[in-house]
Amino acid sequence: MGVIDIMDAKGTSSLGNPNPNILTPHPSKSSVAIRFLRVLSLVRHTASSSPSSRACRIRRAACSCMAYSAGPRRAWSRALLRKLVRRRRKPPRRDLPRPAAIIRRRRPVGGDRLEVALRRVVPGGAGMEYCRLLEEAADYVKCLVMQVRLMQSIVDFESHVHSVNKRSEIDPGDRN
Amino acid sequence: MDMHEKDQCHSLKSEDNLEYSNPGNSSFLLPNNPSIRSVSGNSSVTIGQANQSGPFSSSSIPMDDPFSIGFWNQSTKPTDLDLCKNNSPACSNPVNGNSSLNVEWNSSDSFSIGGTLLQAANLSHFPADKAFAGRPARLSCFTNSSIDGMMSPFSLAQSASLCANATLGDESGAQIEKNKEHKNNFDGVVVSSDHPSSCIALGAVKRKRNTEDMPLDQAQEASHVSREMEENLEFEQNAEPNSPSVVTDKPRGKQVKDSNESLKDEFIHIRARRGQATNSHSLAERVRREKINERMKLLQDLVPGKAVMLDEIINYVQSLQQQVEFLSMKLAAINPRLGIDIDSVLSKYLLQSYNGTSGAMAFPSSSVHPPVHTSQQGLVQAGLQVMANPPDSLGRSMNIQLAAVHEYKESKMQVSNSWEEGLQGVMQMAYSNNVNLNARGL
Repeated sequence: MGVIDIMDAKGTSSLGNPNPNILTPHPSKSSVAIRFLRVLSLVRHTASSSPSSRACRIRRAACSCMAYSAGPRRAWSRALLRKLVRRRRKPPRRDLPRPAAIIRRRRPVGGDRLEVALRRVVPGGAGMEYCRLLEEAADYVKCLVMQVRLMQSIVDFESHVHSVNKRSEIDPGDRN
Repeated sequence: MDMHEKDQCHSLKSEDNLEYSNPGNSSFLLPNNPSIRSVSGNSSVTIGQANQSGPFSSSSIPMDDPFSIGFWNQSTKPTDLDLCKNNSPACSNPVNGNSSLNVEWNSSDSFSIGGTLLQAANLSHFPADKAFAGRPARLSCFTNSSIDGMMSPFSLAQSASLCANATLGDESGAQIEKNKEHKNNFDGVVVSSDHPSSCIALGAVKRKRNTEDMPLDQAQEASHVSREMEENLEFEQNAEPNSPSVVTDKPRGKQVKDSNESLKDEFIHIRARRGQATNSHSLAERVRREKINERMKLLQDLVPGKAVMLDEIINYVQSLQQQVEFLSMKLAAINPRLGIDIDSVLSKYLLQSYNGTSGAMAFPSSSVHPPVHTSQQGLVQAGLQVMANPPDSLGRSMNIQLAAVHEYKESKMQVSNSWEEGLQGVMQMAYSNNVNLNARGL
C-alpha cells in the first residue's frame, strides 16, 4: 500500500501519449513523486509557524516540482518557476528593465473571452500564440493531474498510516 | 565537433563497407558523436562507424511497435535537427566517391510505390542501429541480446538497407559481417529480400515528398532525418520538374499533407486540395487552423467528460489548481512523522527495482539534473539517476530527461509489477529501521 503503489495503479494508464508528435513524452510519475516527497519531508522537518504558511510552502513546492519535472522545454514550466522564484525573493517589486532583445509577438488579441481566460489560467500564457497556448495547456493539464494524484495518494497513505498508528497506540494504553 | 566528424568520416571512408559515403544518405549516416548523443530517445537518428562495436541503447527505444506511423512520428524530434545539420556538411565532402550508388539507388525506386511510411521508418532505424554500434565508448552499453530481442524484425532490413546504401549488391553480406563483427544481429545478412523493401520505402516516401520538398531542400537544413533523407534522394532525381504549389492529384494530396504534418516540425508543406484556392495565405491559414484543431482535440481528450467548449477546459484546470491547494493544506495539517526518511526509502527501492528488472541497461553517469533543493542531494541524485536513465550520455539535459523519461515509460510497464511487491517490502523495511538506509550514504 505504498504511495507509489497507489499512484501506479491509478495512473499508469493515464500517462498515454496520444500524439507524440506534439506532446513531448511526459516525465515519469516517480520522478515527480521523489522530488515532491523530498521537499515535503524538508518542509516538515523545518518546524514552521502556522499550518497555513506551511500549506503555502507546500503548494509552492508542489508547483515547483511539477515544473521541474516537466522540463525547461515547456513554456509554462519556465513561467511557473519564474513566478515562484520571484515570489520567494519577495523584495520590493521594481519594474525590471526589459532588455530590448525580447521580441514581443503581437499575438494576444484579447478578443475571445475563452482565450483570455485560458491565458490567465495557464502560467505563462500571456505571451504565446494561440496554437502554442493550446499545446502548453494540454501539457499543463497532464502535469496537474499527475500532481493531484500524487498528493492525493500521499494524503491517503499518510492518513491511513496515521490511523493505524493511533490504533496501535490506543490498544496498549487500554491494556494498561 | 567538426573535427570529430571529419575524422570519423575519414575513418568511415577507409572502410569501404560503410555506405555512409552516400551523400544522399549521409544525413543519417553521420558519425557525429555529440549529435548522436542528442538523439537519445530517437531511433531515427542513427549514425556511426560500422566497425566499432557496441550496441546503442537507443535501440531500446519503443521498437515494440515498429510498424506504426506513431513510431515514425516519434522519430521527428528536434534533436534530429542538430544531427542532420552537423553531419551533412561535414561528411558530404569525403563521401563523394559513391555517386554511382545514388544512381543505383534512384533507379531502384522505380518499382516502389506501395511502400508505406513505416518502411521509411524502418529505414531510418537502420542507420540508428548501425550508428549505435559504432559508439561504444560514448554511448551507454547495451547488450546485443537486448538489441536482438528488440530489433529482430529490423535486423535483416537494417542490414539490407545499410548494404543497399553502401554497395547495392554482393559485397553487402561480407561487408556487414566485417563491419558488424560485434553485432550478432547481422550475421548471415539477407540482402536481396529486404533490399527492395527498403527501396520501396525510400521510393514511396520520396514520391510523396517529391514536389513539395524540392524547393525547400536547400532551405531546410535543420529538418528531421526522415525529411532530409528524402530530400537528399530527391537531389538525385533532378529530372522531374516540380511545381510545389500546384495541385496535381487530390487523393495523394491529403495523404501527403498528413504525412507532411506528421513528419515535419519546422515546416508544413501542404498541397492545395483540389478545387481550393492555392493562395499561399489561405494555405497557411488552413494549416494553422488544422493545427489548432488538432491541439484542441488533444486537450479535449485530456479533460474527462465531454468538453465541447474551451470553457469547460478552463473550469477543469481551475478546479485542478484548487485541488492542489486544498491537498497542500491537508498535507500541512497532517502531523509530520519524523523519523521516516522517505528519500532514502524511495531511492533504495528504485535502485533495487531498476537493478532487478533492467539489468541490460547500463546507467550512464549523467550529471545533468535539475537542481534539487534538499539536504540529501547525493542520495536523491542516485535515485534520480536510476530513474531518469538516459540511453546515452549527452550534453543536453533536456533531451536526457525527456528521452530518459520516455524510455523509462516503456520499461515501466514491465517494472510495475515488480514495483508493487518491492515497494511494499521496502516500505515495511523503512518503517522498521531507518538507520541502515541512512548509514549507507548512497
